[in-house]
Amino acid sequence: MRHASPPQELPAAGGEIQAALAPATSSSARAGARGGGGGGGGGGSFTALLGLPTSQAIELLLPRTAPPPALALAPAPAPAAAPAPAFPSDPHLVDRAARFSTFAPPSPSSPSPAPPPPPPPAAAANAGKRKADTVDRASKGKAAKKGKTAEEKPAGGDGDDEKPAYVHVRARRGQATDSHSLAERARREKINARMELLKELVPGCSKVSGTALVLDEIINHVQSLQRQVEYLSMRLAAVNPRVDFGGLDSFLTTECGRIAGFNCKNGIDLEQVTWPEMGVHGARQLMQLQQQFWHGDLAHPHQVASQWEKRGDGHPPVFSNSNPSLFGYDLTSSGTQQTPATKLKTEL
Amino acid sequence: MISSPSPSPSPSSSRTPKGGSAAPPRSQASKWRSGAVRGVYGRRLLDALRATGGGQPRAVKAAADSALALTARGQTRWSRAILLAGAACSRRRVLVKAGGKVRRPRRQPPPVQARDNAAAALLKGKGKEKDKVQERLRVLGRLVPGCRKLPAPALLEESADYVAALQMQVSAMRALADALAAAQLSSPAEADADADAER
Repeated sequence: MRHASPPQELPAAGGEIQAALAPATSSSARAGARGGGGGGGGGGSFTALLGLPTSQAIELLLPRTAPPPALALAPAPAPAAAPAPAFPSDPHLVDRAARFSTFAPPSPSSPSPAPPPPPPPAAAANAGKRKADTVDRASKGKAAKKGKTAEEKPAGGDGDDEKPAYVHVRARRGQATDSHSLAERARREKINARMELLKELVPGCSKVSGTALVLDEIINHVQSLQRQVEYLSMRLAAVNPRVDFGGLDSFLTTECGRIAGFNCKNGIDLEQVTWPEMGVHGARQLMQLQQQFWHGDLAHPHQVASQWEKRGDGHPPVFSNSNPSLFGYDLTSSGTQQTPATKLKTEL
Repeated sequence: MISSPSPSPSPSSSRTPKGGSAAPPRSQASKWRSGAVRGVYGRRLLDALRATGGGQPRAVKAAADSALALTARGQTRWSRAILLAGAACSRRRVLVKAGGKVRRPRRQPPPVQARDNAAAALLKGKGKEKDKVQERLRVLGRLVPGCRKLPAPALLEESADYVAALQMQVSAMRALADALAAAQLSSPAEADADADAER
């Protein structure tokens, strides 16, 4: 049976008893209580239910009934019948006891190694008790060995679920549960989670296994991105003096809205590039250029950079002449090239 | 979960954008890939470019990086480092200070170096090649601005955000460069295209 719960429940039960007692006839209740208190047998269904010897029950009841204010019971327990508070009719008690017993964890061991925390008030007792129990269990488990915690925990089977109060870490089976290894494990998991994020960001890292190689890839990627930024800034610097920036605002907003669709590395949707201000021919060649930029760049950043540098700085490429010679990329089928161009035509 | 009033992963801190230490880190990719962010950065980039006097690649790069750091709003260490490095404008300084206030100091136990070693030591596993991972982490710390001497988990988080931001920066700058080149190409060639470009 569960010895830990009754001592906590008794004050609550005592309060309830007192409250429930008010409407009941005091004399009859007292008679029943006396019978229960004296005999410990038939009338004392409460104690029988709890399984405690009546003397213990009364002992436990005594100090606890003292503090809670005797509501309607001031006259009743005042005489010598005080040690045996009247127990209300059976169904109420049975119900309450049953409810309380389901909440309490099974602690078959005697109350000495597992003294439950001082009983909080009844209503908040359940929630608070659960918390306190787990905290208590955790602190006990930390001190105790694994075998002991297996006893004290609810039958979660293999659940060596150590839940220390402040680190939300789940200890696995067969792993040490002292605070150092727990903290280390938490740290490790943190780092691993961030490495996973980085692996997703950096293309081509998912195949690589091992931290050092992944970090290598990340470093390479960061360096290449920084180099691209430098190169693009060079291009922009060259283009800058000649261009009026006023007309670019609207242009950039529309473009940013579309280019946002570009930015997924997995699927390059080449159909969304529109350059409404270009003539058709220039647009088509620009489209080719753009496709090559996006497709090539995202796949082979280094090669593209070298191609750009080959083309020379400063001057924008002359599209009509040099396209086939400079860009040797094998693009997607001409079908995709045609459709954007036709889209352009309709837009224009 | 047990909510206890202890310092470390208290999820109740509403001020810190990066909440619990054991909580899964934010996905920066989505944050830096949204169209709104690209728009914001594009505009800032344009402003910065207008401000630069003449075609000097260094100035353009500095402007682009500052614009990127501004778009990051000073919530990350690298953005604050960039802004501080180029802090001539009072507006940026205010933003940096605001960013400093928003961001809560990390709840780390005192010895940073010891933790770094311990953390990296745990990460690399049982092999004796602790130096490799350590070395690479150091290199990464040098690459990301303002992230030297940062412990491993923080460094990884910063670099994830930095990589996402860099990708966005590269694509935005490339789009802008192409747009400028195209506009430039078209303007002398076709008159009506020129008129369209100005709108």
